[in-house]
Amino acid sequence: MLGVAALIFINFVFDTKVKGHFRREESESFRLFARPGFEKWSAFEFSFLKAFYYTLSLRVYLGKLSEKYMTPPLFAKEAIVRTAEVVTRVCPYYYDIYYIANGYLSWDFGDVETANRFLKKGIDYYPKRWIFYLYLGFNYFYFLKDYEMGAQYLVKASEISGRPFYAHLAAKLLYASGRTEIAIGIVRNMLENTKDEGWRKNLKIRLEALEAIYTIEKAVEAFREKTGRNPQNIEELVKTGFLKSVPVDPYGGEFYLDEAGNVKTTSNLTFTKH
Amino acid sequence: MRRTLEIAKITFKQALRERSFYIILVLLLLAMIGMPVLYSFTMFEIPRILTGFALSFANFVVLVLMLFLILGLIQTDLERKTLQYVISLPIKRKDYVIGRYLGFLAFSAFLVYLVLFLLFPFIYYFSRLRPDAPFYAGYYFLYGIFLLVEIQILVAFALLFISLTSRAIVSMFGVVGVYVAGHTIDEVAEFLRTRMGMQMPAFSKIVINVARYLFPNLALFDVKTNFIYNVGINPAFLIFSVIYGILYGIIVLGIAVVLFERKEIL
Repeated sequence: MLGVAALIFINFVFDTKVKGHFRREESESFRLFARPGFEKWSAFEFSFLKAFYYTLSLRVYLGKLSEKYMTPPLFAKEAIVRTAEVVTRVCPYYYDIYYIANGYLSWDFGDVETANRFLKKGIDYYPKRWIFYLYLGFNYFYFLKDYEMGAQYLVKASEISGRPFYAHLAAKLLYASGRTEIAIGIVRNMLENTKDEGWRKNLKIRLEALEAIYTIEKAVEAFREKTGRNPQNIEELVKTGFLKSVPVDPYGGEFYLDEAGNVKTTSNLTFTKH
Repeated sequence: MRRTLEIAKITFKQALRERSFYIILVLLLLAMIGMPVLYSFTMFEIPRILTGFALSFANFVVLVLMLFLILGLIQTDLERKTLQYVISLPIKRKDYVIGRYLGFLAFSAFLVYLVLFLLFPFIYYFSRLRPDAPFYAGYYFLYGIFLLVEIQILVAFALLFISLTSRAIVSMFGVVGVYVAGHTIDEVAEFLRTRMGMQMPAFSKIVINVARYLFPNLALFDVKTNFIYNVGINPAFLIFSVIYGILYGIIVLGIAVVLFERKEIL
């Protein structure tokens, strides 16, 4: 008992006095790693523990940095990328590291390509994990403005998770980005593959709305080609014969043209009060 | 057979009385206390993290304990001349080796399942508290079989080295060497198939290939990741792996018996 007490005492003294004295000079660099292949090799049969420990170290390191910096400093990126490379090699099923890498790399460091690289690696090991597709879809849409790729991943997330919401979102985002034709294709495809009557009803309404928008868009384009300007409103398209009548928004809103001649609706493609 | 079992029984009792066993019990207690701490540290997939921790813990403690236990007990036999006394009794030398092997194996099984059973309630409780990933209880307990197959190979090797040398430290290095080789040989052989590996000198390739077919492929029994994440589980392959492990262990034990029969015990 005396020996244990002595151990606790010496640790306490070292921790409070000695470490406190040197803490100011503490380095901000993260741990050093060997090559990912060697890290895997040297883990023997404890790869899970190694992945857990490295990820935990990274979290502690980032936590410490957050106490000092408002936003993660640039040198932290190196630590995140290297840890993610090692951990995804040592135990590629360890989920936390994908989450951390994606969160920090895309949001804090703007390195969406690297974040996507890790997410795609995650998909190699977890082909049925819809959350990876959702993150990828979001990254493509929001950061990279690659709407088609974004939509593809969101649709995949929707298919795997069985949550049609993400495909709806993809269609809506495509419409918002002026890609109505692709949005129609996505919704039509979903309609063919959805058996749930409730969702089919929703999808039909969405398809109807998108097709109406697409009809107006084509009329605007034809008007532009002929007159060299944008129509003032939808009624002008009807008057000039480019449109037979003003289509009805199944969501209860009204279609209109913004200053650039883009087709908008007051419903914003939802049934919420307009 | 009766004598063999008698020696196995004595071995089990001896192992229970060893101080290192009590150290493991203290570690197990710490692991149990550590479970809630781990729970609070974990971001996602609590059931998987806790299962991974429990299986790795079982793997580590049983491996280390068995290594020290086997070599310690047999060294004691050699140093205290109990072995001379034992072999002067009307029992065959092979009874001693096989008895020791079975005793250690029974003790390993007891230890593996003691750890797994004592940590199970924690995993079960915390998995229900935050069920953000599935917990495969069947796989959790099945892992014990794979760990035991690996341990029995190492026990057989320990007995083989003891038959070759009288120094426990040499045997310990031998077993550690087999363990390291057994877990890395697959990766190294994989490396040989890469472009860089193909450029290696022919001699190195021959050495690696000989080692590959000589040492046991212990990586086959490291199914923790497969069981935790329920991936890549092929029942036929798992059964073949277990059969391979048991056969390999029996062959090594057979060699150990033959060598022990010829060993000079002064």
